[in-house]
Amino acid sequence: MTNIFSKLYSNKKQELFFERDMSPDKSRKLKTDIAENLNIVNEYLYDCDDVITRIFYMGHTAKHKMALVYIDGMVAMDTVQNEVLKPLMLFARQFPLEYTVGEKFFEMVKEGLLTAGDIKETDNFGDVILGILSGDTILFMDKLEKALVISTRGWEKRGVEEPSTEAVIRGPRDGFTETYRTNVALVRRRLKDPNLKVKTIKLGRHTRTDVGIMYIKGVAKPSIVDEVLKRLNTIDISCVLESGYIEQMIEGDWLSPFPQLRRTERPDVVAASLVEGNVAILCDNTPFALLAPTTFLSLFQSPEDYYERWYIVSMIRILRFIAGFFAFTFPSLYIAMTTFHPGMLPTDLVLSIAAAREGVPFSAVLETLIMIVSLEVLREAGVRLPGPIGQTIGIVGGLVVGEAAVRASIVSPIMVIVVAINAISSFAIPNYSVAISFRLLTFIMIALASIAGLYGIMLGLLGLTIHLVTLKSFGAHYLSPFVSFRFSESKDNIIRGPLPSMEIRPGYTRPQDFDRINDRRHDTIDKAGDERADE
Amino acid sequence: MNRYKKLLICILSSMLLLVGCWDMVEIDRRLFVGIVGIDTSDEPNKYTFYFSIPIAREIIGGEGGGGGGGGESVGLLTTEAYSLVDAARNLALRINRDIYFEHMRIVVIGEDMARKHLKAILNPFARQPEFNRRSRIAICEGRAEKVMGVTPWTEKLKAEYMDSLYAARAMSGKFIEMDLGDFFRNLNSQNGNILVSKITPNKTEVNIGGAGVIKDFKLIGWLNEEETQGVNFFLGKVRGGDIVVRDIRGEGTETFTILGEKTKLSLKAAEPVPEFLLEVYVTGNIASTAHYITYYRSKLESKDIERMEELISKEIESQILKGVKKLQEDYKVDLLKLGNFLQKHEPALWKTYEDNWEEIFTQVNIDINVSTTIKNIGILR
Repeated sequence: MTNIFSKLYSNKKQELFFERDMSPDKSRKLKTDIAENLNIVNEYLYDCDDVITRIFYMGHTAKHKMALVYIDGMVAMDTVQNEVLKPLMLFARQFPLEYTVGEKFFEMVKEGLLTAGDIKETDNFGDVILGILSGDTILFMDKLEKALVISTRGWEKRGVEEPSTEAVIRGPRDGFTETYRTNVALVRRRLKDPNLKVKTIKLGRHTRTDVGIMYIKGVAKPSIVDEVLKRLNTIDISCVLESGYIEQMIEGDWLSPFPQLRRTERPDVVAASLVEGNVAILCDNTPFALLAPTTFLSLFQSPEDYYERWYIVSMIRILRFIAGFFAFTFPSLYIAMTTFHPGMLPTDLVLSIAAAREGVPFSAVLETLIMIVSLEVLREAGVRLPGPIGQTIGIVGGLVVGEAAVRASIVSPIMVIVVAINAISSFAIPNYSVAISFRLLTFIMIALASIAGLYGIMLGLLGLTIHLVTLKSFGAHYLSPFVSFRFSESKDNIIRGPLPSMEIRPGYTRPQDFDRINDRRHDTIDKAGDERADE
Repeated sequence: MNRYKKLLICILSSMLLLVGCWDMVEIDRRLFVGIVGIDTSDEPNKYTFYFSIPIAREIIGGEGGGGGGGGESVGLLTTEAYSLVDAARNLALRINRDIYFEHMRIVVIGEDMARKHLKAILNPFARQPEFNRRSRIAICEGRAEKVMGVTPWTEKLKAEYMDSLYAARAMSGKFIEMDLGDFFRNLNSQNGNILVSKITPNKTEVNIGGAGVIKDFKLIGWLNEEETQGVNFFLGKVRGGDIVVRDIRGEGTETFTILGEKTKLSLKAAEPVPEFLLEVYVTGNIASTAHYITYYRSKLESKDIERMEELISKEIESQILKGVKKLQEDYKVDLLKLGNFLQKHEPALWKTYEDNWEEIFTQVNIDINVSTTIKNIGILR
C-alpha cells in the first residue's frame, strides 16, 4: 500500500515546478567590489521589501565603504544600532584610522571594533543569504572578498509560560516556547553535563527550520542516535512548521494508532528522558519536543509520577490504566452486555436499562454512535472556539446533548452515563494525542461489539495486543517492560516503586550507563540520625 | 510476509463472520423470565407452564413517578405444552418480545408434577445453557400456580423476593439452600435421590421452610422444618439460626444463636451393619435468656455455661435424630450421604453393600455426639 501512495505523490511531484534548493550555492564566492556583492544579494532577494541595505562609510573619510544587510523585524535593532553601527560609524571616528584595506583591516574590524557577541566570517553567498533570512546582519566591506555574519537575531516572541497540555500540580511550571534556542537552553539549564550534545540540522526546503537532536553521550545508545539522525536526514520536505511534520516523517509504522514518538512541551520531561537514554528532537517554531524511542507505558506517565511519593503515584497509575481501558471499551461493553449478554448484568440493572430504553427509537449501537459523535463534535467545537464562547458551548452542549436528548427520548439516560464515563476516562490519559487515538479505537470496538458482542471485543483486544507486541519504536519494543521482561524494571511500570529502589535506568533504551540510583539510605538515614537531629 | 498477513486477515475476518452468536437483540426487546412454574395439566402428555415476567417500565417508572399507578409490575404468562422449549415456542405466537431465561431466579414445580413427571421436566434445564444456573429450584406444596399468584409487599419483583429468601442462610438452617447447578450435580451423583427446597405459598408471602424428599427422580414426601434442620446439621450445612432450649434455672427459655458448625463422620463398625459416629461441633452465642442477669464466666458460676451447652447439645441431637429417623424409617432413602462416605473411605466395604444399600441404610446405626461451645455470653456484666 505504501508503494501506491508514494507513486501517487511522485507523479505529482514531477508536475510541480520549483527549484529544489531555494538557497544559493555555497560555491558562489563573494566578490571584491561591494557594489557587485550587493547586486548579487539583490539578485537573490529582489522584491523582498523587508530586506534593508544600509550603506555607510567608516571613519572620517569616505574611504572605507561598508554595507549592512538585514531583514527588518527579525533583527534586534538595539544590537544593530549599538554594537554594529555605533562602533563603526562613531567610535571609529575618534581615532585616525588609516589602515589600508587588507587582511589586517578586516581583523581590526572584526576583533577590535564590533562589540556584538557572535560574529562569523564567510566568503560565500550561501551563508550570506541564509544568514540574512535567519535574522543575522551581514556586514560587507569594500575591496574585501569576505563578509561578517553578525548574530543579531531578535524578534517578537512568547515568553516561557506554563505548558497548557501537560499541567502538573507538583513540578516546574516552565514550558517550551516557539524559539529553538530558548528551548535548548531550558534543557541545558537542567543538565549541566558536557556530555549533553546538541546537533542542529536544517529541514524544509522553504522553511529551513532548525531541528536539533539532543542526547547524552555515554548514556544514549549510539545506534539509536545514529538511527534518529539517519531518519532525519532522509526527510525531504518542503516545509517543517511543527514537530508533528518530523514525527510523521520518521515514525516507523504510520498505520498504527499509537504514536511512536512521545511529544512533550515540558523541559523537565525532556531532561528526564535524556537521562534515561532517549534522544530528544527539538524543532524551531514549536513548543513541542519529540522523544524517541518511546513505549506504551510512557504514554500513561506524567512527569508528576516521579515528583510525588510512590503510594500516590502507584494508585494514580492504576487508575489511569483502568481509565485507559474504559476509554476505548466502555461503550462497546455497554452494547455487548445489553444486546448480546444481558445475563451478565445484575437483574435490577437489566430492568432499569430496559426501562430506560423503552421508547428510545434507535438501537443501542445507533444510540451510542449518536452520543459519541455529538460528544466528539462538542469537544472539537470547544477547542476551536475562543475562550468565553467555548464555555458557552460547554453549557449548551451539556444541556442539549445530555438533558434534552434524554427528555426527548432520543437517547436513554444510561447512555449519557456511558458516554460520559468514556470521555472522562479518555481525558485521564496524560498524553492528549494518545487520548484521541484511544477514542478513535472506541469506534472500532463499537463496530466489533455490534457484530459479535463480547466475542468481538475480545477479538479486538487480541488484535490490538498483537499489534502492540509487534510494534517497535526506534528498535525498542513498544510494550517494553512486559515484552523483554526484566524484574528490576517492574518497579516502574504499572506501579511506581519507591524512588530509592529504582536502581537502574529503564532498559528499553538500552542505555550505556545503567546506574540510576545508589541506595545509601542504610548508611545515612537511621535511628541514630533521628536521635542526633532530635538533640 | 505480506501474503501471510493477507491470509491472517482473511482468517480473522472469517472468524468474525462465521461466529454463531448473531443473537443481537436490543435489551428492551427482551423479556426476562423471573419465575418458571410447572404444573400437571388435564391434557395427556402436556404440562402447564407459568412464566412470571417483570415489566421493566412499571418497576422502574413506578419508583421515579412516585405514584406508581395501577400497573401490574409483574406479568404472568400461562401456556400448556409438551415441554419447556415447546412452551417458549407457543408464547412466541402471543408475545411480541423474545423470552430469555438468563435472569430466571426460581423454578417452582407443583407437588403433583414432582410426584409423577419430575425426570422429564427437569431435562431441558440441565440441557440448555441459557437457563440461569444460579437460580433456585423448589417444590411447591399443592399447585405451583399458587406461588405464581403471590404478591409480596416487600419487593416489587416476586422473583427477587423469593430468591433473596434463600440468601438468608445465615439466619436459619430450616431450608435447603441449593441452586440449579448444584441441584443437578447432586441429583446425578446421588442417583436421583436428593433433598429439594419446599415452598409453601400464602396470599402475600411464601414460606421456604422444610424440604421435599426426592427418591429416584420422584417426590415421595416432605420433611418439616425441624427435620430439615436436623439433616442440615448432619450434613454440616448449618451456618446460622437459633436453638431454643429450656432455661437451666427452671422457667422460660433461652435462645442460642448458631455461628458455625463442623461435623466429622467416621465408621465405627462395619459388621453386621455399618455403624457410624457423627461428631458435631457447634459454636454460637447466647442471644437471650429468661433471666435478666446474664451468665458469668467466672469460676463460681461457670457450671451454668456447661449445663447450658449440654442442654443445647441435647436439643441439636434430638433434631438430628428426628431427621435421620424420618429418612431411615419413613422414606428409606440415603440423603445423609452415608453411601458416598463409604464409597470414598471404605471402597471395599462399599462393594459388598452397594447392591442393597437402600435396605441396609434403614438398619444403619448412627451415634451422634454433639458438643456445643458458647463463645460469647453477651456484653452485659
